[in-house]
Amino acid sequence: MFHYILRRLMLMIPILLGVSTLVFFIIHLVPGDPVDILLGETALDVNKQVLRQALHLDKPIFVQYGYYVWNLIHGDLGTSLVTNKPVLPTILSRYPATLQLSIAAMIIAMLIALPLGVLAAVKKYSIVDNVSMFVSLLGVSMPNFWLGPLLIIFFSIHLDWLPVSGRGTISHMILPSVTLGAALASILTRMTRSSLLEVITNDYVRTARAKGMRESRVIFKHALMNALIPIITVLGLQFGVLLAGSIITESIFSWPGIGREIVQALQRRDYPMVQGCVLFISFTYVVVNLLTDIMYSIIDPRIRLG
Amino acid sequence: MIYIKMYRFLFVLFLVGITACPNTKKEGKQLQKDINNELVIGIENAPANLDPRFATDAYAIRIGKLIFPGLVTLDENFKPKPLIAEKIETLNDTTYMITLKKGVRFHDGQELTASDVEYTFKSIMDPELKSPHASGFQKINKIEVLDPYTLKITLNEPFAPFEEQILVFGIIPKHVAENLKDKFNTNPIGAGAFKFEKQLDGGDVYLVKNTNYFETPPHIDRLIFKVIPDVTVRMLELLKGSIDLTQNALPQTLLERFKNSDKVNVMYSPSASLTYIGFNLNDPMLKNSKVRKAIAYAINREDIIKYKFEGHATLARGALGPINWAYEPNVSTYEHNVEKAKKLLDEAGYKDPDGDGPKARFELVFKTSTEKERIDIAKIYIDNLKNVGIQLSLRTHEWGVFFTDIQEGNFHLFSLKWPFVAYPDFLYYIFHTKSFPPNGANRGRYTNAEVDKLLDQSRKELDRGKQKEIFSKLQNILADELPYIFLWHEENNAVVNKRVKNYTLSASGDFQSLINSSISE
Repeated sequence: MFHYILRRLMLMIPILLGVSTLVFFIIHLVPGDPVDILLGETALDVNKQVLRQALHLDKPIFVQYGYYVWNLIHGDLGTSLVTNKPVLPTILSRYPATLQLSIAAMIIAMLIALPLGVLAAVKKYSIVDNVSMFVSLLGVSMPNFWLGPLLIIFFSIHLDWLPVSGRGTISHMILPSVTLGAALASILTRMTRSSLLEVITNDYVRTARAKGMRESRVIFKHALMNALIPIITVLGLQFGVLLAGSIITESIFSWPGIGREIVQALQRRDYPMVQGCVLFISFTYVVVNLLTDIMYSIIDPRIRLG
Repeated sequence: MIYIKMYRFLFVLFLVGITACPNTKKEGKQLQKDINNELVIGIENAPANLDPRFATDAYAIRIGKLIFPGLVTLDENFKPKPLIAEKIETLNDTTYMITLKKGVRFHDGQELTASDVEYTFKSIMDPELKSPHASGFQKINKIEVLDPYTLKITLNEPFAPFEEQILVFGIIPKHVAENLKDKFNTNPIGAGAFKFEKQLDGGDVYLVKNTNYFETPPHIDRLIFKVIPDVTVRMLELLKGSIDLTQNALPQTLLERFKNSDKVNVMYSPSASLTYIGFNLNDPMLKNSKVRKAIAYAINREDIIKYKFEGHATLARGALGPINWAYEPNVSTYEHNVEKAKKLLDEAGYKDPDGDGPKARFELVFKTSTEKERIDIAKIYIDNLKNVGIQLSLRTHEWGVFFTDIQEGNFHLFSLKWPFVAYPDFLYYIFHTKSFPPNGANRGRYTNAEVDKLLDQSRKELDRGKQKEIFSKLQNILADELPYIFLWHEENNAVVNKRVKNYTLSASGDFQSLINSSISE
């Protein structure tokens, strides 16, 4: 197990290097000169030249890439072209907000999906099943940019229960995490239902019932435990979607996370900031995938890692 | 047991989430100890850099003005009037003697002196600092500090807009900026009505009142500029009352929602903005002024103002609006007239191949950003031009791409808005031959020897009356030649919570009136 984790951690290095290379070249292919955007049209040519030199933007792209990688392996993600502040501390101050929102969205999704999916599977083709499936269809069909304002209008304006936007207390977290987690909850509900339906007809479930075990125990101990593997796979993969989805959700709810930062940085052609943010999102994604694999072995002891 | 473990795991995650939540409520209580009233202003994006030497975005400049007053400020007609300066004497065409008010103090208690002014200007001129405003300061030849309250500035050549373009810059304290260097923007100290308190990770800016302000101190204890990127959410925050004010941060279509509100007032004021259509004058078709005039006649600006802006815009006759001191109303105008447009196109040699049939006389590409309001109006242009036989194809691009295209002259027509055409010397920047990008914003590559001559003259003429005559001539030529279609001057708008008193919406759209505003609970 230890060797497996170590190997996977080592594998992260080429993955992140690959991601950073791709992002570096893609962002440099996008039209728009950061010096023009940063200094504005009124700036003197000489000042533009000085800034280009300082940022190495006057050098060939491969030389620029060399500087980037060299700084990267020294833990330096560069300085924001817009705010003139170092990228790493800025990201580190924003990252917890994004992580917090994504984790909260995941928890909300699981709290909704697991009971609903189990209920739908146990009461197959009943009204409960139909309602659960309709709700999950609704959840996956509603885009964040529509659901977010809708929730604000209802819960913040009409009922006056929750704040409209911003980050601060737990009440600030509810609407953005529900908005972000709605689609995941729907996917997980369907996945839980189908996965549970698949195992519920297996012999060991029938045996458990034949032993006279309580139905709830049969479902939760024998059936759900075996149905969890695909659910966790989806959960791990969907965490990346949550991080990507946070870009929209954070903009709607003025949530000061990486998603909002990346949108602003892209508009301003703040190359180091975009690169840094994408690198952090990729890093999170890779770590979550590793955690997902580790979870497999915990949930199903038959799976041995290594 | 696995499901119990699972839920236990979720519970732990939830606790982690809660713990990670900053306890701003507690923090807020601590902050509010000596704060009786605060005003929250919704802004679209975070000010990037509040240091006036680097501030380029609108919010950084406008918030910065509350922290860093300049030697002069602009009045309602955009004429300069002294602020930190006691008086400004013009010794000759190129020399100015500036006397500072005594007793103006920075937020740390140190007195603002001539050395601070010298330091501010010289640091902007220093190429090492890479200030985006350095170009304007290249006109300065020498700055001499005569005593703590007097300084003499000598220019390389006469430059009439010296006061409104140079002396408006916020003054920074030498003793702080020298020590902090490029970290000054994280702890900006000025001599303004409000002191910088903090800037949150998301960009929200907190200012507190400066009780030692050299003019009447503000009544409001704290201003919070809250960044709300989403336009709908800004509107909802106003409806809920969790923000008190937005200025030019909502489109007219959403302002209609507040018409009968008992919570907020909607205010309008004339502005110095100019919305225009730019032509690429290197294009053989658009070089012909008859084609440009035909397009101007074809566009139904009157209806756009009436229906899209609900009347809250003024038809433009030139780049300068009616509130500008140099505005010239007696120029050629282009009221909507389809027949005149068709006739001009015929005269230009672009006959309609099939009368009123589907075939177009020619096709042009119109570029704009992805902003919804701009796209909606562009669709009206398409329809208007179709009526005179011109096929207009719309291309929308993300801002960076669009802006690069415009700068490189990669367009037929485009539409943009200048948010603040306050000083008439702005015409130099957009129409002088020397102002082709990257040296200026003459993006259509307009060139006219007479215009260049008049613009050069306007910079050398220090007498306001004579300057006005020069600008009148210029506005006449530009209205005849139409390097732009001067569309309209959109009014400033503000949505203000009714608890805010004495707030006025200035023509410049800045936040200066918040100094005199108060809050009734």
